Amino acid sequence: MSIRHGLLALLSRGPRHGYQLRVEFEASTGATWPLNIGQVYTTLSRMERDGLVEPGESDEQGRVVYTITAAGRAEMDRWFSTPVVQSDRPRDELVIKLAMAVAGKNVDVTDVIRRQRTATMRALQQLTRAKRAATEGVAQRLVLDSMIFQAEAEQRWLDHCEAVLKEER
Amino acid sequence: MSALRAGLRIARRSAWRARGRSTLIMVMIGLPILVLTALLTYLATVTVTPQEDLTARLGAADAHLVQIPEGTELQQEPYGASWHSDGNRPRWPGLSAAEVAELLPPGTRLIPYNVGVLRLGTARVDALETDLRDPLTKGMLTLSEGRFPSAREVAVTSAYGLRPGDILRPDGAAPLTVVGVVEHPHEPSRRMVVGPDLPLSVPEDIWTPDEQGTGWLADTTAPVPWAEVPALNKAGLYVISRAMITDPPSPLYPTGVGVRYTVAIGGLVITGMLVTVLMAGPAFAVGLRRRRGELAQIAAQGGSARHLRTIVLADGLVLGGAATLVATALGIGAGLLAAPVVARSGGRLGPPDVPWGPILGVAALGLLSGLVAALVPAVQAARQNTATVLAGRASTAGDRRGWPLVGAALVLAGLVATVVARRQSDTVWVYASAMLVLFGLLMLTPWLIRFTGRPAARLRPPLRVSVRDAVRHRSRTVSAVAAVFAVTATVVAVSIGSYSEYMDRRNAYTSARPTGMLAIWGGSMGDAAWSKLRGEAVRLLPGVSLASGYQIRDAENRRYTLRYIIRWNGTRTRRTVAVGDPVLLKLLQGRHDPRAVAALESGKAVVFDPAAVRDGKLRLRAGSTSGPPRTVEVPAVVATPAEEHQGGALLPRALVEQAGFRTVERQLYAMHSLPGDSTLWRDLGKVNSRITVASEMGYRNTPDPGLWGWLVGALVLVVGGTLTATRLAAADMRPDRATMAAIGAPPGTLRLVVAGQALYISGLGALVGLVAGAVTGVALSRPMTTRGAGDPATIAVPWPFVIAVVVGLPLLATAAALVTRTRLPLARRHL
Amino acid sequence: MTVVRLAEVDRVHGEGASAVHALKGVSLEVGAGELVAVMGPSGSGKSTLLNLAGGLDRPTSGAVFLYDEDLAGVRDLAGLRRRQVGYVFQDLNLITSLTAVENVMLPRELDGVRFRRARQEAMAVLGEIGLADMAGRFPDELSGGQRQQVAIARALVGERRLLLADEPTGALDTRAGDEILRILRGRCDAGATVLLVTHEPRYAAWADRVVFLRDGEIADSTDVPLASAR
Repeated sequence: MSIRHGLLALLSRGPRHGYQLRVEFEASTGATWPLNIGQVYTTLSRMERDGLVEPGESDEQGRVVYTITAAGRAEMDRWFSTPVVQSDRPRDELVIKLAMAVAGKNVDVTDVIRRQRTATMRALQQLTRAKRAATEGVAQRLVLDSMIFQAEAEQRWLDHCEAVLKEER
Repeated sequence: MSALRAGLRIARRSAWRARGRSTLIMVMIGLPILVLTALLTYLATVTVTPQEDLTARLGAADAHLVQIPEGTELQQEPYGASWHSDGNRPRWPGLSAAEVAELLPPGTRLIPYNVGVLRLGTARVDALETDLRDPLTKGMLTLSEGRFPSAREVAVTSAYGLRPGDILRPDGAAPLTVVGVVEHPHEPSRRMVVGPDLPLSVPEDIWTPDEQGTGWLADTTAPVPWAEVPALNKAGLYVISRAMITDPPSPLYPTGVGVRYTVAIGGLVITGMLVTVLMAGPAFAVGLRRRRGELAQIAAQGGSARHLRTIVLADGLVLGGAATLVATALGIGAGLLAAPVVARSGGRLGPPDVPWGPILGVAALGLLSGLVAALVPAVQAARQNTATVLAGRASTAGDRRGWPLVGAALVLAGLVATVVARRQSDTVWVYASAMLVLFGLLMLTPWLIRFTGRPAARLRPPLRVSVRDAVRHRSRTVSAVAAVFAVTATVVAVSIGSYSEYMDRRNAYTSARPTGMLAIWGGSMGDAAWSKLRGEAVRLLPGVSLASGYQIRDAENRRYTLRYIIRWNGTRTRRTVAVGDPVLLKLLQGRHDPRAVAALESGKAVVFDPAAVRDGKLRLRAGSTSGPPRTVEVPAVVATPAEEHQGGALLPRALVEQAGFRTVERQLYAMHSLPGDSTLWRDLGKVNSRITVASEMGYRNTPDPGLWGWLVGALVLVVGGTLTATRLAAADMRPDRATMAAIGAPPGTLRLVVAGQALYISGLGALVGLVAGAVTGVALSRPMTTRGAGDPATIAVPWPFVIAVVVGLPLLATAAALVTRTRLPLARRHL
Repeated sequence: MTVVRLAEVDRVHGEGASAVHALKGVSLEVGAGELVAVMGPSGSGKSTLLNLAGGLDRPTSGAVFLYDEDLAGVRDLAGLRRRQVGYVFQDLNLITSLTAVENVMLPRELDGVRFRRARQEAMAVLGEIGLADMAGRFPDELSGGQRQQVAIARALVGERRLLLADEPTGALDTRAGDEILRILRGRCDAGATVLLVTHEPRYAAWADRVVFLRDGEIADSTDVPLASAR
């Protein structure tokens, strides 16, 4: 997964120049994934190399407008049609931390869980506040929702850990 | 078959699980059965058939013979006896036992059996003169204490209240000692004295063949069959024989079954079933709603629509069967127990009798009612959409809109039929038309409920909730309302009809004197004899002010009476005018009426029958047993008498004398009630036997119609039905009420929500029932109160009763709902 | 200003061996304009806490104060619910035979307010949460979310500023649930006080403060200062 797939998706709506792509990308992801313009141009030039986009004319301000190619469209379709695989994600530090805490015997696991839960809830509250403040449209909201659901899942998992550990004791 | 078994098992289990609801359904189905069964058993028990009565009438004898007074001819027929007399006082022929024995087969043994009364001072008691020690009387009376009497001794029935050792002192005879207490087998409340030698008096006025008088019990060598009855009648004997009853020539009772009989029975059955079905139906429907999920599960497991129908119908079978069984048993028990209790306060009592035929019929009807009541929910169950129910979206659809147009057409047809039936002489057709109206209204009810639900928005919140809820659960409400209006309509119709009949009879009663007036009439006697009698009357009635009345004589001293004829409430009535002064007028009017007094003093007749006066004149016929009749016309004024039933006319002496007659005082009047044991007649009779004493008692022949019994029946059904429906509604509304409690509704408001349902159901039902019942009742009153052409129908509404039914019962039902505890969890969840 | 205060509240259901200790020494304060969420697994005493706070139930020991008044001294708890506290439950909130607006009017009418005025007030609340169009509908003609919104309107009609919500999103999907929380949050920002019981973190996260209840005791809470919560 990459910025390149995101940019391809934006370009599939029509030709855009680099700055435009950066603004639209941030709006869609609810500013949760900041991009700098250098990243945009690096990615565009790599995609140009791979034949996924092609540069067009410069506009009056000298910005180059990129257009998606047939190969670019094919790559984008492949991306959308391929599910994200669990193992593709990075290892979760919290999971490892809890596992170690349980194995470690001399750590107060309940306290670890409680602290983590309160922290996660605070994060969740902040996300919710961000969501209340969000005005940039559905895509942004869904990205925030995704993070809310993830935080919620973590919360539920922590509750579950607590219940299981309570039974074990 | 196994589907039915499974259905029955499910029905049994769920009936047990929902015990409260099952009990209610059983009560609704069972109540009518119980009432009918109890009534049938009671009637069969208190009805003493001639066969059952044999022992009480004849003991061990073969025949009972009673002398017929001379001048009376009697012919006994299997259906009854006809007789006519010459109108004189009964004179008793002195038939001897030997003469009677000759009329019967040789070898007959006779013992005296005389029936009359015993005079004990002012009191009288029925008396039987026969020797109870004789084996012929065995079983006629059973000994419960002491022994049977011998000479100068008597036995008394227990109802008479005397004990062995007490003394009876009959007038003009030696005292009698009570030695035994006996029981009449069929009439426990009868007061009677029995002894072998009693100073009997036989009633003097009119004789009817009811065994009174001198008679014998006969032990014959051969039976006395109907064939010998005419000969015995001719010889002056009234006969009851064993053979006549055990071997009748034709059935003793006519058994023809006509169309009207069928219609009447059919109507009764349909109404009974209708009420039962209407009351039990909603209970089944609510049960169905609760079990919807369960039924859907069965459907999901592969149960067909037919299976579901079977299961719900099995409910009806189980509950109807159980209710029928219990109600029949209770009904028989109640009937058998009630008979002796009722007989204690009068009436007859036969041996315990259970009329199995009719009772089984009633039981079958009960079972059928249960099935029919379960039928509609069963059809609904078969129709439900399994997927919808399992998804938890209970369909509120299925409440029928009713068929308002068909209903309206039926009501209209019923009304037309009622108008037509009103002209028939038989009430059955009015009932039949009423059924049409009832069914039409039943179909109109859903529409009516929707219509009345509309203004609910303006009601206070608790009532609004209950009315809205009633309207939304129309299938439940419709049948409850219909049951209430069916009962109300029936009761109102019957009450108007029978009260009209009662009023008609009461109105038909008329008298020339107000209630409570005492009249002393002298016959043909001289002035001296009268003044002696008058003096005695004044002495015997101290402090009573007496008004004088006058006899009319012509020049030859022949007694005349002045009469006129009017129609009183359709009946030709002959009036004899009184002659007197303003003192008598005041008694007749019960007040001082200056106009009437002035008319009387100016020599005019004062008439209380407005119809008799034409152009200020009253035409009178002067008649005499000895003189020639003539017609007299006198000036007359109409006045109002003291009481409604009163008619007649009062003439001043001057007017009678102007017409060529003489007047002599021979009558005394007073407003004075004689005590029940007054000896005034006898005491005056000692002075002069040509004296008549009469007390005007007013109308008292027909007892007041037993409307209050109907009220009790209506109370049970209306209040019971309303409460059933209300309880079901309360169960349905539990979540709503819990929500209201959470919002902060005080407990009283929550109760009001439930009571509001009761008020709505019973109130609407009572109003519709009032209208339907009033139409039928008014229609009934015509055939019930019209006798022949020209007799106008009497229509009388027993207002207190109708108000009690239409206003009282709904209020009672509401009050009952208000105080009935309906459980409600205040805190909705624990933990 | 403190709207609800629970001081060392104990609540025991039943007696003897079968006694269940639903709440043990719980103390909690909810200030005006605050949205506090109570989280916990089922059986942790959440609903008991809510029932105590609104006077639907009385504590075994400890005290509950509403606007600084001890509920133990209040005799007419029903009247209190009509005038000061509004409840919203998970389901069966509305009276099925009354329209939406009639449901909202009900507490006011029960309190003796004239029909017209009660209706005006009810329409005003319904308008505030954007349900004026639905006023004439019966509950079964509304979606689950709309029903809960009407229940919230009813809980806030009139003078009431305290709303006790027991799993109000329980039967709803996340979108409708979010909408409910948005309305509750909006009411709080407009000055109302909400005590919300839920077992779903995503809804609890709308609160200014989340209290974790475990086995009848407060295990933890996100004591975010009010100022930064806004």
